[in-house]
Amino acid sequence: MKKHLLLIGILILSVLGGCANATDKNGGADSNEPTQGGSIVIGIPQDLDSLDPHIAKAAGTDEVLFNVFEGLVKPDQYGKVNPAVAESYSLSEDSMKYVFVLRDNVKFHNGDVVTTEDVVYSLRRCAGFEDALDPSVTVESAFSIIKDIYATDNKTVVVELTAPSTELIYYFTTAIIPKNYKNQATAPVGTGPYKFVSYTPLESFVVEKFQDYYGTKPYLDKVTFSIYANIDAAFLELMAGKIDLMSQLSSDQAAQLTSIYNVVYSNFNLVQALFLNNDFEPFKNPDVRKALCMAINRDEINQMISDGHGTIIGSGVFPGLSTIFAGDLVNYYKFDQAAAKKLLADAGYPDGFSFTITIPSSYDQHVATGEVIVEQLKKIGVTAKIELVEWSAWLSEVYSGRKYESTIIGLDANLAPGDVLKRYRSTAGNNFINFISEEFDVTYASALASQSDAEKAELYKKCQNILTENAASVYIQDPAQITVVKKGLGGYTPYPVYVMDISKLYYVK
Amino acid sequence: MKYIGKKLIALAITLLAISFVTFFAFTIIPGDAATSIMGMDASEEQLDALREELGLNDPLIVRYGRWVKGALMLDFGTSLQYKTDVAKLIGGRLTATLGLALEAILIILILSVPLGIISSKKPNGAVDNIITVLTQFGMAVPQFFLGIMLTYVFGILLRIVNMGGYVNPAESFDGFLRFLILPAITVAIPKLSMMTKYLRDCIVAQKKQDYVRTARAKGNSEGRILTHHVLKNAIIPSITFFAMIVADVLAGSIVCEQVFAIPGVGRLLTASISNRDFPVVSAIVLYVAVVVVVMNTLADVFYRVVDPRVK
Amino acid sequence: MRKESSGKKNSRILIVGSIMVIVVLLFAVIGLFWTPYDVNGMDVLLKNKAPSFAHLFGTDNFGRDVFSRVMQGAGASFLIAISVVLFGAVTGTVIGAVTGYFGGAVDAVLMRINDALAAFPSVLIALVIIAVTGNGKYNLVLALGIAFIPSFVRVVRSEMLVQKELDYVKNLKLMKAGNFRIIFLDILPNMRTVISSSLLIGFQNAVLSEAGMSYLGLGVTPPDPSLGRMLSEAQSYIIFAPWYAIAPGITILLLTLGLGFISHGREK
Repeated sequence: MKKHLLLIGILILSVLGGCANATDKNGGADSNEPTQGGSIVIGIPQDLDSLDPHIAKAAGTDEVLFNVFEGLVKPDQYGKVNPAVAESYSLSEDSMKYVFVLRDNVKFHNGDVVTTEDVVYSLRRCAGFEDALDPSVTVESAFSIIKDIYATDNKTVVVELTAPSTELIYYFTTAIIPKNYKNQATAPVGTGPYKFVSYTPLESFVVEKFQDYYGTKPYLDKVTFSIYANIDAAFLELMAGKIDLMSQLSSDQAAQLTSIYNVVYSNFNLVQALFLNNDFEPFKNPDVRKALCMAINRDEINQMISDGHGTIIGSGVFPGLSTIFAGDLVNYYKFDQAAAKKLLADAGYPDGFSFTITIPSSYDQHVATGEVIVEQLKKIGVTAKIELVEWSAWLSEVYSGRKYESTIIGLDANLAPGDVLKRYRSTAGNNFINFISEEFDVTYASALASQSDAEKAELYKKCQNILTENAASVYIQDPAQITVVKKGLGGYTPYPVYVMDISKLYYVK
Repeated sequence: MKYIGKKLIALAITLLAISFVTFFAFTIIPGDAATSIMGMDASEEQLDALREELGLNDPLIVRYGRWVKGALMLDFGTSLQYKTDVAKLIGGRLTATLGLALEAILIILILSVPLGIISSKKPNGAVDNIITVLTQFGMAVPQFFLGIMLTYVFGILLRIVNMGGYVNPAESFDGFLRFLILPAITVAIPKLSMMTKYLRDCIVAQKKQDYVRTARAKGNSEGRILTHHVLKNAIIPSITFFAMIVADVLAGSIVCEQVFAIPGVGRLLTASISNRDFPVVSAIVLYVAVVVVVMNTLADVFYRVVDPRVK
Repeated sequence: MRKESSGKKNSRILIVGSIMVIVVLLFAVIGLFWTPYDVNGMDVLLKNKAPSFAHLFGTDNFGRDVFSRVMQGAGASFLIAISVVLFGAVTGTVIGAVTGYFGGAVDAVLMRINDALAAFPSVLIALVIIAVTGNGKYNLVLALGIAFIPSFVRVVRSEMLVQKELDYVKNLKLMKAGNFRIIFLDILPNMRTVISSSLLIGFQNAVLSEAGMSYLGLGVTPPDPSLGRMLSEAQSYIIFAPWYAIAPGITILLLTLGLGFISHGREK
């Protein structure tokens, strides 16, 4: 027995010793000098929904596939798009025609050189053109203004539009894939800095450095994305230091891991809101919606869930889209329970009312937000009840079916300025909150058509104004994205869109 | 022989009924594979086109008939979500579940038999009482609480067990087995407790039988009585009980796989239910049913072989 | 029944078990009417506070009082478990008694179905049913209740097969008593020992199943507390706030262990 205790003692000592060493190393590495090579494990709290980039829909999948696939252009950490598979592009005077010139000798992971045929095929597939029809591919609705896509020579691809658009460039981030390759869903082939090695459902997605990458070569040789059912399931392994990097933690969870991890706070780039079905009886009345906006304390939610690391919003755009974000709307509705109560009484609900908040159960953060909201609404006499549903039930009942009263979700968006707002058009297929405003429709249309960046920004800000004035929903925050990065690992770069760029990660010397 | 034929027919009917119920359940669940695959921004036309491609638009009976036809030839179709062969998909997950099950069964066997015998030696003696309290404890603790506490204490506080992610046996068989130790203990403890208690009760009951008194009167030693008479008779009913435990363990532990993030059949099942991936769900349900029925039948057959009096 | 020291010891374990269950039950019942704090009342400043005189079991990640939540959570778990067992027991007893008594084709078919149901881990059955009916505590009661039927059918049916051959039943039949009268008024009361021990074991299993389902995120919807849900939420706060896991964990253990002791004590 004594022997065993001794052994444990030595073990603990050696572990402590190991820790001390690690801190030393890290402390001495303020130069932050990257080294080549090495491999890491990244934890992801959901499985991939498809390996085919045109079929994958989940934001969590895009985040991973970002490293394997590239479009003609590619977003950077500042929210700009830069040429990628294309070397350059130009937009005609009337904004009706995009011309892309391909980069020389960009190679797919299978060794083939990217041709204009591949590019035309990829774009046509995403735009839902007949010749490339595949029912499981989500047709990019922004591409509906495309008249034709064709190659003029073996380096140039032309996209002709039916209506002018300066914003369409942001959608050309869509992945370029080889034309005559049928196994995209099981063994994906792209042009990104990392190439696919293996995928085991519910277990892992492994990629390795692509030696023939045309751009800056990544540092790490091999990256394993380890799949967990949720953060809780990964937590014991995080405590044991078996995962090198993981996002989507709560601030309390991250705070327990600071001995072996650095904590990075950034934003999710989502519009998190208590979305109200504007067609549901009490919410038909804008004053009721306004009352809820005043009754909900967004700061408390932020403090409660992420120790204040989220960013409060007041309308339907997250701050990452800095060119169009209307910052003055954040405090349009001030937290004021008395005023909210009075407004409700005037609207004919002096004793409050009851409603249900339908939340997809797999999103801990939204569920927690709902818990706080239920408590806050109690104070003005409104009884909210949480109903948890599975993701596919949420999609069919709430999002497409619009059979719900309210829901909490985070909406992501493409970098194109208008993308995040287009769902609020009265006729939009994904206008799941049933927001109807003629003024909005008109303003949005002129913003989209506008060719001047300044005017565009003004009009999009006006759109946000309309949403806020009408209290389309209770906009809460762009939630905090809390990431733990193993000490000794550098180069973690948050993006203003939902991606995880592993090509910048490295071990510190 | 006739007995086995009868059992087989019963098995077939059971499986048909179970698979039909699974199919039926999937037609009334809100949301289907098409909505699950297409995600947030899909139009009705796209959804419909995809449903057509996946064959979801056909009537229930047609789809079920198609599935049974395939299943009869051991072809369980393609996963709607993962686009791979269902049998292969489940086969991959099965290694984790089977590894876990085998380790757990070993632990159960190695510990429950001696514990049961020791416990029955002096009913209500000090040793028996301690074992009784321990087995009661083992049966009372929620499995996931046990799992969390075990990892917390052994993996993180004491660092006796090397904590870490699931290890694929293809990479390191040794690592695979070592990773599964804590989960196996977690799965084993409640079953082990039940088995110990059952065995103990059987032995105690046997000891009160007349033939034991006769044997004792004839001057047989206690040890000989135990090995030659009591154990032999006590083991027969215990085997049936053990078969039930084995079936239960083989069916996969949904909760335990969740606690330890093991990519086994249980996790595939929960994921496939939420993906509305019914080919996978039906195949797993079928697997569980087959395991349970086969184990029970084996126990029955064994029962008949060792005890010909049973008809 | 041999009267040795064993009788005494068994009654001792029975008493200990009863005390454990009664303590939990007492807190649960009080919790229905009164808790030290509002169970769902949140406070940012009180997040993850260690146990103190003000908060006996500390606070959780929303600054809610864990003691109050354990009291009400115990009540919720208790009620769900009781409903599950009663649902399973009543349905199972009726089916088992009737089929066992009459036998024949209906019996054969029902037993096939019962075997099929019994073939599955109850978590699996409940999971599929919840996927169909949606989440919520009533649906959980239904789902687990259905999963609990087969064990009662089996026990009652096999006991019925024994009882119906006994003389008193044969006499009643000769006196032309109605079959259902015989089943429900004469035979079933004679099976109360068997049924009540099944009820005890079933109750223990139901508490454990509720905890397991809550761990998978099914059952009581937040913010309302249940012991299983609290325990699963506490998993990732185990370093920061171990009391959050320990308090509901110990409460479940008191309840299930107490029930185990009671059924063990009754056995001899």
